[in-house]
Amino acid sequence: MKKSASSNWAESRAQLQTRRHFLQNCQLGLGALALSQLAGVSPANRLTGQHNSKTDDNPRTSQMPMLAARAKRVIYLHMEGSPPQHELFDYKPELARLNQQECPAELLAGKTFAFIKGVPKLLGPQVKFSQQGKSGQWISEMLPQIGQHADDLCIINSMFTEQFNHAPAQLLLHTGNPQFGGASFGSWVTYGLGSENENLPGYVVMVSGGSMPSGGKSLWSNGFLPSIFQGVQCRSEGEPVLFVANPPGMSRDIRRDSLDALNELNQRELTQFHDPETLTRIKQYELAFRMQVSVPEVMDISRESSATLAAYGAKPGAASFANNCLLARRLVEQGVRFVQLFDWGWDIHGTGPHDDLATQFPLKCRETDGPIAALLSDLKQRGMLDDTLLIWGGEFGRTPMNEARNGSKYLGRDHHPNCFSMWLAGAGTNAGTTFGKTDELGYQVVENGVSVRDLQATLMHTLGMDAHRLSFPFQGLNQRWIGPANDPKVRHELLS
Amino acid sequence: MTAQRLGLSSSAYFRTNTIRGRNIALISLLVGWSFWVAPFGSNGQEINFAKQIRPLLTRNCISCHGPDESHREADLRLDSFEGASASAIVPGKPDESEVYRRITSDDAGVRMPPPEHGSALTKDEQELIRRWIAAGAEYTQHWSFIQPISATPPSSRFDDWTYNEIDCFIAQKLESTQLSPSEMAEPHQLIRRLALDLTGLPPTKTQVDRFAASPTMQSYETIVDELLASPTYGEHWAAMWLDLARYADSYGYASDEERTIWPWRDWAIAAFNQNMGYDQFTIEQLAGDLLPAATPAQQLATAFHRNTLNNTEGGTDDEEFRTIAVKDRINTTINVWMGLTMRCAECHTHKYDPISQTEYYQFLDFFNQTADADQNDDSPRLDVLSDERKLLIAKLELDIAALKEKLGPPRSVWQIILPQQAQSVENAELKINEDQSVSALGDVADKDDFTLQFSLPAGVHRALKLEVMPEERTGNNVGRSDGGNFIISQILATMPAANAAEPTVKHLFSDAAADFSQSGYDVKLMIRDTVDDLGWAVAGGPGAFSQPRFAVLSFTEPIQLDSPSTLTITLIQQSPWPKHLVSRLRVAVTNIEQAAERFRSNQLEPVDPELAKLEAQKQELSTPAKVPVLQELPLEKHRQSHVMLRGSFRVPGEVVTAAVPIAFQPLPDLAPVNRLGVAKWLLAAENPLTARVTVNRFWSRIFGRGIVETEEDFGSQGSFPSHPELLDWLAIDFREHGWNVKRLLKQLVMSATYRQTGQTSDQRLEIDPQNVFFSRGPRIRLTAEVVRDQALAVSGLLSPKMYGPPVFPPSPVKRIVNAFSGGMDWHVSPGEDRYRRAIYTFLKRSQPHPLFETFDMATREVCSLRRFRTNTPLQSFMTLNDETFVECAQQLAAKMQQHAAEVDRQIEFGLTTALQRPADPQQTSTLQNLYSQTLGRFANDATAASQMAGLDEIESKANNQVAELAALTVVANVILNLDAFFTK
Repeated sequence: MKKSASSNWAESRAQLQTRRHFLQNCQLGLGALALSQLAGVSPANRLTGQHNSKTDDNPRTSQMPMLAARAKRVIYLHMEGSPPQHELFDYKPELARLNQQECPAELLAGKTFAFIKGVPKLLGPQVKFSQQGKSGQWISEMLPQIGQHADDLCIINSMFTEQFNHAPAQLLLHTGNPQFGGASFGSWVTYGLGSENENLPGYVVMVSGGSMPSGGKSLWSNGFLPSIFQGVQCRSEGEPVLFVANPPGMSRDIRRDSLDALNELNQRELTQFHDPETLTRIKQYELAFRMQVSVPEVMDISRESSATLAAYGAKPGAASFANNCLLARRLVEQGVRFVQLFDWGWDIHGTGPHDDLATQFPLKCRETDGPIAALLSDLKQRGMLDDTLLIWGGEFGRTPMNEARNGSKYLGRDHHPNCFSMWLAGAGTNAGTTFGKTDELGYQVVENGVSVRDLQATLMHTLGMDAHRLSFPFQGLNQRWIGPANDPKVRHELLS
Repeated sequence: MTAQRLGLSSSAYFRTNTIRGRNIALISLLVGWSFWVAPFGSNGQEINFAKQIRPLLTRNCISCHGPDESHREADLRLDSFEGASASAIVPGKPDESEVYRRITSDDAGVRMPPPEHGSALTKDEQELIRRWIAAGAEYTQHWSFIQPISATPPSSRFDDWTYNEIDCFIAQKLESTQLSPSEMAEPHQLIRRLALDLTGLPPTKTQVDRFAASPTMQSYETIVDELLASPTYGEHWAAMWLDLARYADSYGYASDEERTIWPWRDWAIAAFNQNMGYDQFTIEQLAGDLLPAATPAQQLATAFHRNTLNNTEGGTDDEEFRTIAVKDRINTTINVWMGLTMRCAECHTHKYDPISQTEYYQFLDFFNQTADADQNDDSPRLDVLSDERKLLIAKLELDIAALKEKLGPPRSVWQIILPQQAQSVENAELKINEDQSVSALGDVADKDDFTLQFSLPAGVHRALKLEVMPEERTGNNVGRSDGGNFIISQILATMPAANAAEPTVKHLFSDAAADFSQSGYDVKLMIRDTVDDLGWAVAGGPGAFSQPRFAVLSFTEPIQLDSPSTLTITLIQQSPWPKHLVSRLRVAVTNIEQAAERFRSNQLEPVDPELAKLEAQKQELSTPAKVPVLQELPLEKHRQSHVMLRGSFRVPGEVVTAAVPIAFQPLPDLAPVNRLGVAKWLLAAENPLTARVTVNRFWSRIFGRGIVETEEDFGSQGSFPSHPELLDWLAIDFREHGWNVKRLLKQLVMSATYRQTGQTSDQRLEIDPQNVFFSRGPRIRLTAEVVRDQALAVSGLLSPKMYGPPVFPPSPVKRIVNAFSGGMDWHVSPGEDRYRRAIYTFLKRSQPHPLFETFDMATREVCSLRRFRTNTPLQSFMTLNDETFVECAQQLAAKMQQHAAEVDRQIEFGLTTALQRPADPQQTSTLQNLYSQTLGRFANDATAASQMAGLDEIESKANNQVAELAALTVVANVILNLDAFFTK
């Protein structure tokens, strides 16, 4: 029997009052707000959506979630461009049978596609599937190593979205709004829960090979939330965080000396003006000094054993998804609350070998299968899979039809919002199950559809937050990640 | 005394009072703001609906029982007296009122709000509701929807302190607290604050010295006037406006290509500098194109609303993204001018403010009639060539003519060859022109190959020049695609064999160069022996598609002819992009060896270097910028506007026609029913919001906090004004004095309120941590732009150059790769462009320069009315370690070294230069210690020292001098990171 939300909340608050707990949790990722800025949105009120009461709580205080939380941290693996579900998790033998037959007219009536024109042909799965693990989940043979973790995955084959262009679909998924201006998932999570390592950013973003996703930096934007909640982009080649290195010629000793002098002068300023912001600034310079060590340290994968590097397929100094998976583990281990990875090149249209099912798709599978499997094993081995939430997926689905743009001979699939696959792992998600069903062609959801907003409400729930109440007042509305309507539901079927 | 005044009971106003001879308008105050001055409802006292009841209703009830019909539960609305008293409230009788029964019920199934919507009201809150109903359940309209009411500035016990009307209102409010005004700021600090506030740059040394020598109001005022007249004023305030305008130099979305819209940014700078009235400023930006005989500048002003995003990703529906842009325009208009959020009403009737979904789309109809439609070329665009430029061009033309005269007739290395015949596979009409070029006229196919025969004179021919020229008859572009581009997949050259019976001889090319190639479409791609999707194309070149382009192609083997022959050139144009065919071309030959290589190294044409320089300058100046603008569709082409169900353009509801929301005044008499009418409606005296929102914005930039703190929300969810009478007084005064922005700013900075010291005490902080009562001067961190500009200015690096295309200062992000558009390299601008003010920095939406995001600029995708100020270690990293900030430290150090021989005087000079005030000896001694420590470390490490000092070579200076400069650079780096330096 679950405790009621309110009694848990009261407990959490009580806990928060103990001084020791307060000290352990009193940071919020990076930085502070000018004191006047969050008035009326005390930390306690962030989670409950009560914004009108003025309190003197420190806005930096970390929060205990209001519900029992299974997930303490998140690693989100976004396959930018959207992988073809018919070749990965949504096994459709009937589609194989109808390969290269004309698409039935009733599926096309009143439909628009991004690129498909006229009557396209159905395209059977281009790969073999088999049942994996004790749970017997159907998984593509293109993912042999992830397949070995079948019993850890909660596969959702009935995702659907309302957007079928990349940028708006990604924005909807990550910021809760297909248009720009919203706050991203990681921003909401760090806003709600703070961070557990004061020497590292609470919300880290890494992009494989450096190509920006379609939605750009807005996918990790703080939106209307204060900018301390924005994702900090870390890089696995070059400087891990912008400007973290001292300028040429300045040693760490000199930096220490100069910060001592700076602090002394700022301290005098504080005595004269009594501006609390001055005190905060002194602390931020000290934090920066510590981060100059902690960030390069956590980002240095050469400290890992060669066995670990091999398991991930990681190579120190490169910019790869494999490196980023290993870094994700290192970061969450150090208390980073939210790690967002973007991998690029999954937009399998079939206009040429660079985006088709025969060449590009297997390449992408090879690049990600091992690293993801290694990440799952690694987290499990460290006992961290129990409270780390992993999310894998693209921004929408792909058609069961061959796109054949301009008569292309290469095989590929067009954008398709009606159904797609994602999987969750860890943190009490329903491991070893496949949820939801599409029709025989994999064209439409027929059972247990999960909207993007349902997914969002559910993910928030695993983190112990009520997505209906987690809000921030902006432009006349208590803005929420799940949008203004109350329809989104926590899908308890996805949770164990 | 203070306790009595805490609520400013109404009787406070009944004193007959004059302040500098002005009478208090008792009546209007009572009518206008009586609900403000009612006491906070302790027992037995009057209830204040606006302050006590409406927030409770809004928070707990209105989202289900409000204006939004589609989400209204139980057909009950509690946002108006009529709605509430119809069933749920019995005025005067709380116990018979359903509302009171429900909020006090112990039964979770009955109690309101339902548990899933919020927690129960507290006992105190319940009691407030009970007393309000008992007193008659009176509703008053939301304060900001009532027109501002003029009040005479009140008197107070701080009258001696007051300087202008602003101070009277501030002082009166201070009487109600335990606070009193602070002393005037120390003159150096005041003048620094003033200059940073008005121009975004520190004051000049003469200004500081003048004011320090004679800190009188008269000399202060003179400096205020100087600063307001400085051209740097316009740059500073335009920077503020760019956030509201969501200005950027790129399209946004996935491809995020470059957009030329900086001439509008220059327009905004000039408008501020000319002190254009805010009314005219509004009209020109919203509807400059609709003014009778609109000038080019007025048309350019409308680019304000072309800062919306443009989605060029393949497979997107242009109508979808056009609709999004139009919605963004109305959201931005209402948000910027009236401080309200309309966006909610896109999908459903606004839950809190009186804007229905139908009204939203009626308002949208005004903005739905412009020609732009999410086209890849951003059309319609306006050619912009400023008057200054036209003058420069005329002068250059004279210089060029004079030089040509002196040089005599030019000799070209190229010999144009004469076309004999031209054929197109798709039957394009290929016409030979008098200038020996060939034009492709008539219908244009998606793909086509052209075969042209030329007579080739005797001699040795080693290279060929292919000129692609714009064709006036088909759109004046070099290519015939919709945008004006072409892609030549392959170029072939063949000649008849010596023996006519043998097959023709193919002449291959070994090298190719071009005056411009599009990224990813290099000219060399067309001399490969394969044909695929790629080839030579020219998007993104200077002068866009209206400038001729040429390619220089070296033959692998020279063609040696004893007698004239025929050369056949075939252009294969088979890329997948439709209609990417050349418009007009001309061919020439030369006998120069390695012509392509020579062209690349500028050694091909024997052009007089001076002439080439002038020609290049002229070319650069004469290319007009093509700026996207608003252009009203002719009446017969007006779009029909619909309600969009759930906000989706695919689900049209009822047809609507242009109208303003009925909660506000109607369109002014005689105003046209179009955007111009909307602009006039915003500016009408009856509009309750525009003037208030505007003065509040300027107030907030100067004082660090708005009179209404939620600058972006004057609706029922926003915060209440801290000084309502002052806000109204300023609003009316501003409107009645011609919306004069410089006058308004002068009033603000002349006030005694502004001139207070920012120094505070623990006691003051306890009473008023956020300075709501303005009992001390603003002490606030500078904005992103000012943080950088100030560092450049005090180190002497800042370039004063104004206007022009965006520039690229150093950035650690060297390459930006976008999903569908190749990407761009960040090439640092040469010369002074490296050190221009931040407003001129190229702003790419998907990846703004790190300065902006580190220092709190919102992304420029939607309008942003307020920046949250944060304080983060990432900011420290930037100002400590970023290349530009380090360069500033090096420069400042060099200046310090030049200034004096003694270290203490060098350091004093550094501190004074940065902070514009005499150095405090303790500061100097701290930094002197740092200097000595550091000098010791650098003395043993010459390499580190020269790196720190920014010297390439050590030879020029003795080792100890380098170490000294390095140590001073460390000191300067500290000075440029002082809290006092970042704070105004």
